[in-house]
Amino acid sequence: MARQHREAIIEPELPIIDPHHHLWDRLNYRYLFPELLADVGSGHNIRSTCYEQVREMYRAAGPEELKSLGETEFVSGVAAMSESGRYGPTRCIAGIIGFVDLQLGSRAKGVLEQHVAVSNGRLRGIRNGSTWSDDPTLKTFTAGAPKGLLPDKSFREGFAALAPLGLAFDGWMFQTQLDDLVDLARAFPQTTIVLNHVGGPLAIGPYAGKREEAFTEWRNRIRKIAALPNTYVKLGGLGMKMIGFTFYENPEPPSSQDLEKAWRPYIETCIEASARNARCSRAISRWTKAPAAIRSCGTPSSASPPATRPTRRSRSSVARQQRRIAWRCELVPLIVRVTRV
Amino acid sequence: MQTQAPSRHLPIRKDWLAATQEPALEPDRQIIDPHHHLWDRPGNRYLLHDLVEDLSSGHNIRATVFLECREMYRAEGPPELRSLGETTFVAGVAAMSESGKYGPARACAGIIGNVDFRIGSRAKGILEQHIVASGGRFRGIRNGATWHADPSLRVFTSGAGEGLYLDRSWREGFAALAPLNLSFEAWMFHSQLGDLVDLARAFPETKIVLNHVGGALGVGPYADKRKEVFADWSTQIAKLGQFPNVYIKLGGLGMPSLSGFEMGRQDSAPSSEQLAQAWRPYLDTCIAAFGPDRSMFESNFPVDKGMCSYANLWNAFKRVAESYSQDEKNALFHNTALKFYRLW
Repeated sequence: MARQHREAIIEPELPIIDPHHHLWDRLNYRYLFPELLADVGSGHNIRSTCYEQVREMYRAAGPEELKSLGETEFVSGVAAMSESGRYGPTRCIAGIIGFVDLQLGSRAKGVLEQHVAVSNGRLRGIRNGSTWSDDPTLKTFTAGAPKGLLPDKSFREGFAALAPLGLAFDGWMFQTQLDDLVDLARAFPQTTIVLNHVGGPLAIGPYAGKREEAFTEWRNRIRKIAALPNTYVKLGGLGMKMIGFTFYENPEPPSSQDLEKAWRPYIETCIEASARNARCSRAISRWTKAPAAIRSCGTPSSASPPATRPTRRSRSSVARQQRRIAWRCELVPLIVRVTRV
Repeated sequence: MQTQAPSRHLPIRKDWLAATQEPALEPDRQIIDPHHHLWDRPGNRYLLHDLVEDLSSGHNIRATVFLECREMYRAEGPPELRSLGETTFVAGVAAMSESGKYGPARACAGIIGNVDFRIGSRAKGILEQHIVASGGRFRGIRNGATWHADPSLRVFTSGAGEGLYLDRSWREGFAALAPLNLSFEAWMFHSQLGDLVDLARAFPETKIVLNHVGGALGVGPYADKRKEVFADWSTQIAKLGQFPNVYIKLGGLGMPSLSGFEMGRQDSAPSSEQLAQAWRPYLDTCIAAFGPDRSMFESNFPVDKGMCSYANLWNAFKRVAESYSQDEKNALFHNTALKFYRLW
């Protein structure tokens, strides 16, 4: 980064739970506990966090289906460090979203129980990424899941083990696949499902230069998902390349206003769609700036995707609505229903 | 935040250590380090990456055992469950190591935790929680018992008071170890070793390993009495060696409480020859009393890192072991720990 934007923290008192972050130790990219602490301590009032599986610290040896226990153990260890109280007030990794290949079918249950045990009760759910595409550009953003994972029979057999164990499911897919999630959520009304990263909207590959068209398609599917009472959505992940914002090409990192302008249509659409049941969970602490930002900033620039902001209500009523949702989403009982942190 | 008593451990001086660091002798010899700590204390961080740096300094370290040191205790909750934080923390480090990203040594393959046995019969249920939290790596408990009437030694004591291992309710807790297939780590001064004789006799089914050659003191009232201490200490060591359920860890002699501060005050860190010369009488006495099948070399890092580098420490042990047979060396460096801690 050429220069670090240092902005004043908006609403530094607002309690925030960061329900989605990773840790890893990769070549030239270490993001372990000290790095997480530096971020959660950078000004916002982060009360606790949830770790999201990312294939880290898998066991090098042993049965394939047990290798991911290494990740759950690793982050439980970090959670224990945080609970020592030495590292500040944030309860880091109070919840864990781990990985068990649900395609194990009926064998998934036993493995899930092992994760619950080694997590010392912190396991809150499982993510099986299902991003799939035959487009060569989008392929690079997939994690090797087969086509049609969510409808798969053995996957659903494994999936059925989640609800009885009090575990949620984190869904991660491209916008093109969202109808699979509608189908899954309908088939398992007792299982809590949280859609990651606003449901994977696309603006690259086949959608390059077609943001408006993609947005409409994405929005229609998001509305269908939001109508189901067992679904939640995480508002964030919009920094990923597949959403097509190219701030990383600029000499300086984007300001929060730049991000807000780019992200608002997606985030607002999700909140609007979920508002009736207030079932959104925020993944990005920066969005806590939204209420104040909405009050202070003008209309979206003309470069933005189609306006999705409500026209019948004043901006301040949107702000109030969002603030209310923000609080309800972050605090009991809503997040608690998803993550019980 | 926990603060270190200033004079208890020597500070780690990386440059001081580096200046005399030696290449590993017998670099292929398999070693299990059955005794080290991890901690994150002000100005004194020794976590996985620091440990791995030492493990990779030339010797063939196959696996390690973590020893409790009141680290990462839960800040909240029932006091008797707080030490579960340490076990969970270390299990996380072990999982990192098992990913294979951090070299061939299996760090923290065994975990020794802390449950204060003074809680008596309630200890059993808590031990079972440690076994679960450890991911099956839990191997035993240490309750330090170091105590001495002399105030100048107070800084080295565990705060448990006199005669911990004789205490009736403490022994009620201790009794839970053997049925769970767990062992006990004893840590005391040489002046207290009679208590361990009594304990080992009372619990013949419980495996006990005496830490740091049995705490032969070299400071305070013993500062100028090395000969007398050695005589008293070797008598007790010979007695303890008679008990087939008692083992001994060969190390910890870098601690000022045992060896005094002299080598730590040199202009450069001691060579392995110097360490071997100073440590040999103690180590040979222990091996003679317990035999190689109940003796294991230990690093006691990072405590002993105040005195010598990891490379020189194991070189010193290899020099001391020169007069032993191959089988005996295999036992001292690897096999005794492997069996005692079931690290397969």
